Amino acid sequence: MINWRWAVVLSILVSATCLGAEPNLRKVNVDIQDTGAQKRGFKIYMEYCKGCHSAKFMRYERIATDLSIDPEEMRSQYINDSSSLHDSIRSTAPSDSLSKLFGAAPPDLSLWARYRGEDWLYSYLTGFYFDSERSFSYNNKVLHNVNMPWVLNYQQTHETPKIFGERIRDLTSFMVYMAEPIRSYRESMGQYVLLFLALLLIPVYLLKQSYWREISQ
Amino acid sequence: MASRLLKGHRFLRWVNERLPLEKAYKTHMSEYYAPRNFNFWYYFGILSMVVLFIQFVSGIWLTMQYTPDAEHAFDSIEYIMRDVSAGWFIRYMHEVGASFFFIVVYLHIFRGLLYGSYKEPRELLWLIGVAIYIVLMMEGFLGYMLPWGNMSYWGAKVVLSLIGAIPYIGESLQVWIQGDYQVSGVTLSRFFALHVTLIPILLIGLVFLHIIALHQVGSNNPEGIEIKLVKNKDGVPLDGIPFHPYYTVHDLIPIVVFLILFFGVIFYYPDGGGYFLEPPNFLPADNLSTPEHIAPVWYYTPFYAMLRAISFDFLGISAKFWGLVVMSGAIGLVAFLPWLDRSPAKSMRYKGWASRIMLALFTISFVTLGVLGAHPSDWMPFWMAPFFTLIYFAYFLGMPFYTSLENSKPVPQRISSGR
Repeated sequence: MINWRWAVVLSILVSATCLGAEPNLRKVNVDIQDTGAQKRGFKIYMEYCKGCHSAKFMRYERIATDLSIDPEEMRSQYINDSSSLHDSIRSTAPSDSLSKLFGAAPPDLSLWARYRGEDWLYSYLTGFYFDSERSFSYNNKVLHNVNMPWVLNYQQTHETPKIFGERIRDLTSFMVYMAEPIRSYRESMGQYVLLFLALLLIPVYLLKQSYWREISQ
Repeated sequence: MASRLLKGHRFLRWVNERLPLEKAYKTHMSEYYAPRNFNFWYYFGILSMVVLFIQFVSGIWLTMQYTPDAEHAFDSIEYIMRDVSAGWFIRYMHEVGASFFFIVVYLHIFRGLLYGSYKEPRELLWLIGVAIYIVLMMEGFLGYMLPWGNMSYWGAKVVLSLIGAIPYIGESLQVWIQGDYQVSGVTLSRFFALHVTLIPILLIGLVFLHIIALHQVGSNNPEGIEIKLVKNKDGVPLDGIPFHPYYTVHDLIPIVVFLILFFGVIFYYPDGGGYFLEPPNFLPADNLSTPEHIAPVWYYTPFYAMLRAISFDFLGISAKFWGLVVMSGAIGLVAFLPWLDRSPAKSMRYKGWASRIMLALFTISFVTLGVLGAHPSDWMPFWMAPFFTLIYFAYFLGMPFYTSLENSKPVPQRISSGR
């Protein structure tokens, strides 16, 4: 009973740190060269995310080329609406009815990985938990009082954490790819450019030396 | 060398009779005598010209694909990033180039402070340089708005609201500049027009004048010795060497090293750890959703910290206006340096300890203000921003006193050693 003051102080401190500090994000370290993971992530996106979230900057054709999916396979296995290969990813449900339903329009996710970062995405998607305080009995560790439905509830509760984590990692990989499709090409090109410039430094240095020899004498 | 070039060339001779080709070549290249002791700090003038060129060329290609209208601006950037051939490369060059422009310009200005390059006879050269810096800040501000991301929008809103804080005329001035009662598509279109026409013309014109003025008075050097005072019988400074070929081949080295760093960032860190491309700018502009923390791009943050340091109303005028006064005063004071510095020596090598300590404190305070300005105002104790703002001003306002009171060493006539 003497220590109730301390309890109050402690709880204020704890809640202050919880409010102040960013929630601890789980590191995901996606491999941008791993097209297999991106392909599996794309499948998940098409089945679970695309219903509500468009990705208006991402064309199916580009995905087919980058992730080496055969155009025929893309049409039969991935595209699940009337879109053609040249179209970008449109959401199935109209966004105004969704915003009435959930209180906010589901955002376009083309650039979400560059806005929030891969660790945020991974932590958010694995961060759903049961919370009896809320009307739909779930909540999220990263985004408190989240409006988005717990879409992957079944997977998270029926799969082992390891398998579920791998699944979300694949989805995150795809979203990282989608936010900047050129990235893996950019990084592989970079080494040639830098190598060229490093080699260029040698004649440039020798040229300077040969001219300046006259001056130092 | 020029006459040798012209010898066999009838066409060049024809041009030379009608345009001062040979004369210009001699004045600015083969017979422009630069001190032989330039060091590391003398790379950043030529490097800012290199970045200016990169920005100019990449900007032309971006203009071909960008749509300056509120409906399509954000989408057109993604169109450039995804659908235009090599569009991502051109856009990253321009975006990373903007940050590198300020990096090299800040180092170039620091060189001026270190070796007293603003002192007589280079006052006008310095003033033109200050004008370039101000125009460059305007160009950066206008350009940052064009992607029409959420940070572009809110950043512009904050800066334009500063104009609104000017007493009496502020609000109507702000509406006149914005072209609307709030930041809107109208503002975007006119900012685009200014970003690609008026300001670049001013910038290139001023850079041209900067070089002409430099070649009129001659370059300063790390020793702060006027090489023109000691000449041989042909009128050539004894401590000078022809700019071409010696410094042209010499400067190729820093240019290649610079390009390695520049392309290293473009290919591996194009968003500069969230400082060159800020994450909230990957959301389109939305006047209903304010970013959690509005911060300008890193190169403005020292001045943003000064703006926030003033938190009290004074004489019935808002704190915001006084913040604007402090901020513009901080930039404006730089122009007065040639007349604030009373030291007989130019270079820190011959100035006294007071000058050295003040320059060190100034540099620390500028960097600290930059770090503070990039974070929310409650990130560090509040006293820090006003404290370092005071030090920043003390460097300038105290200069007439500490430079005339301290003991400086006598400056030799000739450049004795190497660097």
